[in-house]
Amino acid sequence: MVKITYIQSNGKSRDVDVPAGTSLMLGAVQASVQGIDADCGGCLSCATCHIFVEPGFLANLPPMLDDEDAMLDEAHTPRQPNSRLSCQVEVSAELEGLVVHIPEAQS
Amino acid sequence: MKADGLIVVGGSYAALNIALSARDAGYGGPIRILSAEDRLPYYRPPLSKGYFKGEVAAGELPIKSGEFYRDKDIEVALNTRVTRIDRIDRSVETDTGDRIPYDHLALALGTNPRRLAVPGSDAAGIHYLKSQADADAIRSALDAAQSVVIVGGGFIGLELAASLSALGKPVRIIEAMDRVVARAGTAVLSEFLTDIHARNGVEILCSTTVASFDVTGGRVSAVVDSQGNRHAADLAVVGIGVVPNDDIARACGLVCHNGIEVDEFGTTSDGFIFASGDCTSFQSRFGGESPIRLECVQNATEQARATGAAIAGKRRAYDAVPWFWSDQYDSKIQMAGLAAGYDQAVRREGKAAGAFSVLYFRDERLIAADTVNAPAEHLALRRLLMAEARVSPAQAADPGFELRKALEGPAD
Repeated sequence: MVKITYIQSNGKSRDVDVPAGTSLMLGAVQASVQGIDADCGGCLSCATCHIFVEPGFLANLPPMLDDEDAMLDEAHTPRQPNSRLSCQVEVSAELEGLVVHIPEAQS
Repeated sequence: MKADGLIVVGGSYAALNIALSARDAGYGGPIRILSAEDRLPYYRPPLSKGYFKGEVAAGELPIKSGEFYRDKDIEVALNTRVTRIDRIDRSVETDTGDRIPYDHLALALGTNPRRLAVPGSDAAGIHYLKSQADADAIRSALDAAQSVVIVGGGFIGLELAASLSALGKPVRIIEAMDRVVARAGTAVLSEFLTDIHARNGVEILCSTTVASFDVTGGRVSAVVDSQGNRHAADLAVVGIGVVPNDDIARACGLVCHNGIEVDEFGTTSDGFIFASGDCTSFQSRFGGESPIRLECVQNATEQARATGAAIAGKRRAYDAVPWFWSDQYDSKIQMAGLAAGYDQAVRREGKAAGAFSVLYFRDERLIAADTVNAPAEHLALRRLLMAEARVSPAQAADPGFELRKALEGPAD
């Protein structure tokens, strides 16, 4: 289990134990963390699982592939350098203590 | 069983999203989902793909956890089948004889697989795929199966074939129409799909129907086609389309033609009754003159969201580009818009190898697009379609033309 902190746009913070190998998106959805819609269920078709990764952790994440990069351009909330699509980030022990911020709206 | 408030009948994407959207839009009364399913709403697409292949675990299927519904003060009653709607009394009746009153009623009844009714079609070893339990049953039967025949070359059949192929099982598809995905896809898409299946050793027989099944010891042993040919099969999966589940709507007099007719707020012909998802038909600016019925997660989700908000008094018209995806082998196929009636198809090469789009035009207007392995292009095309942006066939064919530019102004 890896501890991930999800912070909603209203400041509300949730610590969730996410099993290694599960995506950040599923970790949030299964723990009822609000604000990550994941309309397409995690198949890189909707860009509604957009998150901002707290700087300092960015380098620990698995690399972003071209498709995710291109999809982030289409996200509802404009992307930032620390943007990721949470369905594409697999949780591992390296991400222990990761803090992510959820945008106010996904669509 | 007391209720009133909002009763949502259904157990999948539309039911969940109507309830959630109504609550989030401030619906003050009780919200209760009556689901005939034995489990909470779950993702369906993985049933023919990731879940079937064992890449997605059962625990990853529920769309929301039980805790989520409690947090939102949405009650869910499982194993509860509504058999009758009483519009005068404003209540529904369940198969256990309970009468549940409603202030507002929302129907998210979905569809049921069309059944094949030929001699032998009730033999063991013949499956349909709608639920997780169905997927589990097919998957269990697969280990002992020597040869599998899939009846129906629609998305269910094709996706299953790709999954079976990945699991090392030989499979043959029998398709009644002259091409695969004839209902929802274009001939261009059919050709592409037939090609990728051929490359992966999946044979597709078009213009062929099933006349009967050979049954040995109660189990299917062969599929007999309309040409009289026998295809050895100890496992058959039938995916020949779905039928909207609108019986109880029709029975209480709601207007139904190819599903329950609703307006842009999800309202049926009864102002207290709403409906969303695969069971509805509605006018769409993307569908031309006649009402459409869509069978896709996008519509079930987005239409339901608009409906839930409308029920809570926050009316905003449902107006979204239909879109759909299918994963087969290495191809991520995405479709936006409705291509029926196109008169011109333009291929647009993508940036990565094997990535491309096909843009469909009617009278020089973009009406739909299929993309393969280009999800960002798909999203951009959805935006264009939504904005009814003008893009010319020449621009579409030119990979140097950035699609986003078409959002900025008229085509040359």
